[in-house]
Amino acid sequence: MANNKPIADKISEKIASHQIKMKPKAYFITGSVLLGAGIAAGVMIAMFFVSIAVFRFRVHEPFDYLKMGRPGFMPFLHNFPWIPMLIAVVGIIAGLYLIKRFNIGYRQAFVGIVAGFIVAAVGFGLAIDASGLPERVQGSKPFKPFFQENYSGENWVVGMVEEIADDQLTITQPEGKTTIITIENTTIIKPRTEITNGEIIKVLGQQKNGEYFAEAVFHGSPPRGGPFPPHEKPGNVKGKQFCPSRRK
Amino acid sequence: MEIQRLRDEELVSIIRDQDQELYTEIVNRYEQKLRRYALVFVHDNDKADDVLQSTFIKAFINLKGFNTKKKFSSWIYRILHNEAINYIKKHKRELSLDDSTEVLRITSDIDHNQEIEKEEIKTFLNEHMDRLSIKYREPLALFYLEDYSYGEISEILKMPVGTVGTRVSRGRGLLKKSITKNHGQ
Repeated sequence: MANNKPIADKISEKIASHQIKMKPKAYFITGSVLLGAGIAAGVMIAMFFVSIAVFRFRVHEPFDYLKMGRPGFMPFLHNFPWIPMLIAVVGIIAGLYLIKRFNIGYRQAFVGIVAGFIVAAVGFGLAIDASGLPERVQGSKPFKPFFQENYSGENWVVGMVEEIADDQLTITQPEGKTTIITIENTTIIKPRTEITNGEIIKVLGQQKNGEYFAEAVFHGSPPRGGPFPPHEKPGNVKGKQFCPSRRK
Repeated sequence: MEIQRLRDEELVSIIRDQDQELYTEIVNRYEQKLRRYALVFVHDNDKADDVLQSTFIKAFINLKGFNTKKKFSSWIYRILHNEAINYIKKHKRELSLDDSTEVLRITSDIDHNQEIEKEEIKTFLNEHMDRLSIKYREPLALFYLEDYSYGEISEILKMPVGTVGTRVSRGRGLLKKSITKNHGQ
């Protein structure tokens, strides 16, 4: 509750008795620098992790698993780049929070700033991915956790076709593990084209008594930056081919 | 040097670098205007004084953060705006930021065919300010009572100039509507 003394006197007394002091200029300069750095860090973190997410989408193609229907859901979850996406989103939110908190850019509609921020993060993320930076950093220690590689799970396996028999395919995973896939009459092959040696395939199925029975096989392609070597087009491939129409 | 003749921004430079006690001159220049604006938020003189005092204290503490190339009045109004909002949040039970009651009944003798001009709106605002939602109250008060331009209001309220225009126009519309409605009853 205010007493009857004029406000000017009250303030004057507080100043004279050093009850209130001006913050030094350095405080504000530091604040501005930190604010700028915070916003820049938010944007850069978002861009970098968007590029990692783009890389992971490209290499692991998680959405391909969803095309396989319900059985593809678990491999999709395993291969979706959750952590990079989450960090990118946190970076965007942190940058926007700082902009909002310190009233920067209030002249523009905030929706426009949000859209600009997202477009910048995604645009530069794609550009960073195209520059090949994620490939270069994926092996380095601090970034390794963000490039977590999944080539097999409970009901799915990804590998390069090494050998083709009448109803069996031998595939090798990047870590060198070999799996023999048994193709049954009920196995769905998508698209219904020949499987060739050296091709990357995604298989959904079940392991029974040491054998892997395929429910569905999907053609893939070795993406740039992935662990698989480049593969020649089927027409030029020398060696055996597995033709879905010739299945017993 | 005649202190009274100095512009706010020049005075602030002197206070910061030479004589802090001259801050009372700033207080004297702004006390009445800011009290009137504080009353837009808190409809009580003692509460307005509390908001006012904390505004002047905060402005003094942060004086070295003020860019003297900008307008001091916009800066200090902004501080008051923030302090008032904080005060209302702190005293939620006594005060309300309720936006639901856009305009309640505004009783008026004005002829409903007569166009409400700036001076009339000024009078109405003075009398019925508390019946408008704070969203409209603030820009209307700054525009009609304090004679600030949309650009200056945009600086104070930290919102785009277009939004200021929309709120002033909608607030004015709400006043007109309410007056017409009341006159018809």
